[in-house]
Amino acid sequence: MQTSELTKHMNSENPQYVFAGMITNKVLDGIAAGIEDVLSVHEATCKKYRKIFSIFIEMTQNIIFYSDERVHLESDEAGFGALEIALDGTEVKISAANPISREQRDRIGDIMDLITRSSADEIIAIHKAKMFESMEDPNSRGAGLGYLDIAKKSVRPVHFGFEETSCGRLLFHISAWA
Amino acid sequence: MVQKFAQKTIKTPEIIFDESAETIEIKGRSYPEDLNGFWQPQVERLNEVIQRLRAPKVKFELSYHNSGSTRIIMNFIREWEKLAGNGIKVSVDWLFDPEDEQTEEQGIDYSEFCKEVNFNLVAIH
Repeated sequence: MQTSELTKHMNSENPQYVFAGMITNKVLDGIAAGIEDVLSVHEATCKKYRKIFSIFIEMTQNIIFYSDERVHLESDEAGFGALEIALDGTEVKISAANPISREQRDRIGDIMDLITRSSADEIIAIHKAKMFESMEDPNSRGAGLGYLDIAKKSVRPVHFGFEETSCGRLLFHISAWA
Repeated sequence: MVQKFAQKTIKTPEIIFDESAETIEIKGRSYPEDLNGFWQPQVERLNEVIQRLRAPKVKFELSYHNSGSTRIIMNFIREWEKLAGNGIKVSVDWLFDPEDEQTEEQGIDYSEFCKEVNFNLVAIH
């Protein structure tokens, strides 16, 4: 998959961080350090950097752990994907995109559909129900807890989409705002 | 005796057990590269030592934890709720920076699942 296909939803006018390619834990560490060092003191972002940081980590770990295009490394994992953190008016937009499998599309689609038809209060209630589910069932992987967490923290409804790329792969993209 | 169960790293918290004070401190961040690889041995060890104590206190001071770590904390709460039946009353102090609404709200969420565990929200000044 071309990186240009990943980044076509990331054409913000005021990007602060953009990365596209194989994302490893070391890449995550580097950008996370930037968020902390820069966004925590930048006037436009200092009051919301914790929220930016947590949405960024959830999105990036999803790419590292679940991207359908990956390289197995001896001491790390690498998932193909793209990330962008951009100023968007008075808010900060955090976006991610990565290839997914057909099976992942069904699972992610179910939780994202639930999120988009729910109000902010309903998302909080669903998030709590998923937390309870993971408490009742120790083997639960808390399906969707990460996406619910992103939706709960986002100050605007999350945007998401799936699309078929020119090479016949499926792409998932998501944006949230802090 | 004070034992350090885990060293702090950029993505994982420091875990300290003070047997004489019956206190466990979990401090730092939790978004491990390998969630179960880090937490599973710690969960087993903490649940084992906590059963030897009469009034264990667990202090969480997490400046950030990811959704995977939320499941770990919920599993702790489930186990510690059960201990009340054996006469072990676990107290949790959830420490947060007053400027960090996120961590405070997470603490409020956890407290709502506690019936037997004495869950306290503590602002750090």
